[in-house]
Amino acid sequence: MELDIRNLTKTFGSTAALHGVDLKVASGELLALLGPSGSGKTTLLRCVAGLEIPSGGQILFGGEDASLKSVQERHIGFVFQHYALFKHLTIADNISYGLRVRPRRKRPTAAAIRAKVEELLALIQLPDYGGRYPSQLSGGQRQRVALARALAVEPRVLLLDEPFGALDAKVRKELRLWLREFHDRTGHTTLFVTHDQEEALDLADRVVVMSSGRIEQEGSPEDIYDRPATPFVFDFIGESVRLDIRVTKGRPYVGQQEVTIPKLPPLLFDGPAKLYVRPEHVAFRRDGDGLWATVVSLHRSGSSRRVGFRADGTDTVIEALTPADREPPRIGDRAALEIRAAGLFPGPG
Amino acid sequence: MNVPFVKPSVLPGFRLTITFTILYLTVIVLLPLGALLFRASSLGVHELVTLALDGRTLSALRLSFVTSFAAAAFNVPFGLLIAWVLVRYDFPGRRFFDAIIDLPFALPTAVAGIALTALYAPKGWIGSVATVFGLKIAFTPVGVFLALVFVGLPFIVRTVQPVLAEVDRELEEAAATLGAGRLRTIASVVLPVLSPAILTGFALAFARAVGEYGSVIFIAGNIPYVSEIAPLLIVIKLEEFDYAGATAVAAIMLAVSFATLLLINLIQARARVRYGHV
Repeated sequence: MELDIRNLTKTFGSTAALHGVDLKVASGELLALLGPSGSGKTTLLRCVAGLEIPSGGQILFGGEDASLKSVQERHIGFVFQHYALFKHLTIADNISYGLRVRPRRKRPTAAAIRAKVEELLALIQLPDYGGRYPSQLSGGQRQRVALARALAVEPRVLLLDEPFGALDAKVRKELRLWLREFHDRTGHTTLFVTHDQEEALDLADRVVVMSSGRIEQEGSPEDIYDRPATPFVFDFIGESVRLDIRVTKGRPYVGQQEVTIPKLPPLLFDGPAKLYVRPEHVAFRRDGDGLWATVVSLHRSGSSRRVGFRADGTDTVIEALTPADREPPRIGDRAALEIRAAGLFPGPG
Repeated sequence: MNVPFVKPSVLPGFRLTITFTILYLTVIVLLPLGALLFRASSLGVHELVTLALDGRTLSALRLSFVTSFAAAAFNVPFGLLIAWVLVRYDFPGRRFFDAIIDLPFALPTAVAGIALTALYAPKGWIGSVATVFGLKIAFTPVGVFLALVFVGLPFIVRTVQPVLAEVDRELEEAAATLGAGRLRTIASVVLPVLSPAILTGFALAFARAVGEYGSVIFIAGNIPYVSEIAPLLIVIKLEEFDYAGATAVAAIMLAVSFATLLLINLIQARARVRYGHV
């Protein structure tokens, strides 16, 4: 089932949580809504679910307007960050809840419900857990049960709100891999909300980066990481430093030095600008051309070493990554920096 | 010093506090009840049964327990509704209404009794209207019931309120996304979580109603065999120097109350086993 969100707005009192969001989700796609807290990603998800009523705009489920439909009528599956399992019901009763609350003529027979529960328990790899209670399960197991409960009603769209947010790092990774595999097998159209970029880039077919109620950029994980479209995305995704620079006659200057950056579109403006540089795109050598700088810091992190440089005429520290087994420079050494890739955006910092 | 059953703690004092606890409970709670039982037992079984089976005693006991039960049960749905409104909605005057709930707690019972009588007596505001329709409220069991509803309400509201405030709204949302309608969601998701609190509130309201005296005696009219409650009967017997009779009624009340509380506790224990995983 494809989803089409058109010009969706949502205001809470006088504060706007969503400013006219447009988003299309293809059938069977696994899409991540990524953003810091307060970016509107959860509000967007809850609007799709029908748990929030949008202030304006439309939400189409497979071409059919669902904006005015109740939560119950939308046939979605929703998974909450804190599982929201019914603690007084067994795992089997939790999973079958959505089937048992159906009106009598739409309700499957008791035997069919039991079969469905068995099937789902096998699917989430908890086959013998039907008789237990949620409190007897670990966090990761509970979240899988929550997923099975959402899937039992055969939803048209699966919505996950920070599904791994409450789990510890190891379980998180395991469950992430499991969910990817699970999605490939079952093929539900899935939207999931996360503030963890690693999770979004690792898991999703397509990532939508949100900030202050707007979509900053949408694209494949590669697009998002390698070609950030806005200063916000550069800042939010991966590591980068921001250099306040000046563009004069179409050429970028750091302090008094001109910098050469490959693959930069022609600069059609003069004035202050911001340059975003990732550590892995900075190389240094002891002589030759480049942006001359002084070594100011050295940090060992795992298999690599971070070298901090202060370019002549600026206060910002530019970091470069170098293998840990390579002879490191000393603090105070001079070096020429080569910037292999960067993002340049007009305007003062 | 090696005291059994005690885990080391930065705040010691087990011996002192346990001694005090036992002493206090003995003097304040167990001693008076023990004295009552001792007196009753000195009556002898035959005399006790004869006194208990006396028509006037029986109807007083029946009135006390039946109206108390009915009033507590009546308060459950309405107390629940009020707690819901106070917890879930923010409206002008919410704090005022919230404070009003405690009035039946705080009011001297005699004041409540006079106020209720003034209202429901045949010449009172509501009583006069009821008379037009041929209904008599004051000086009948209905009046007793109304007074007990009045004193019992805060118990339900105040026990349910904090639990309801803690109920995770995501549970309701989860039920809704799974297709459950509103009533279904309340019945299958909200009420099970609230049921221990509801039961506690019911037990407290019932216990208070059984022992209620001041607010009832004015509105009840105290007609023997009709609207005479058991606590009043005890007072009457005492005033007639019928200590044996008073003791017998008291002992029976104690026994029934104890049995009721025991039953409610058993139900709660069962609920705890079932919802123990909450």
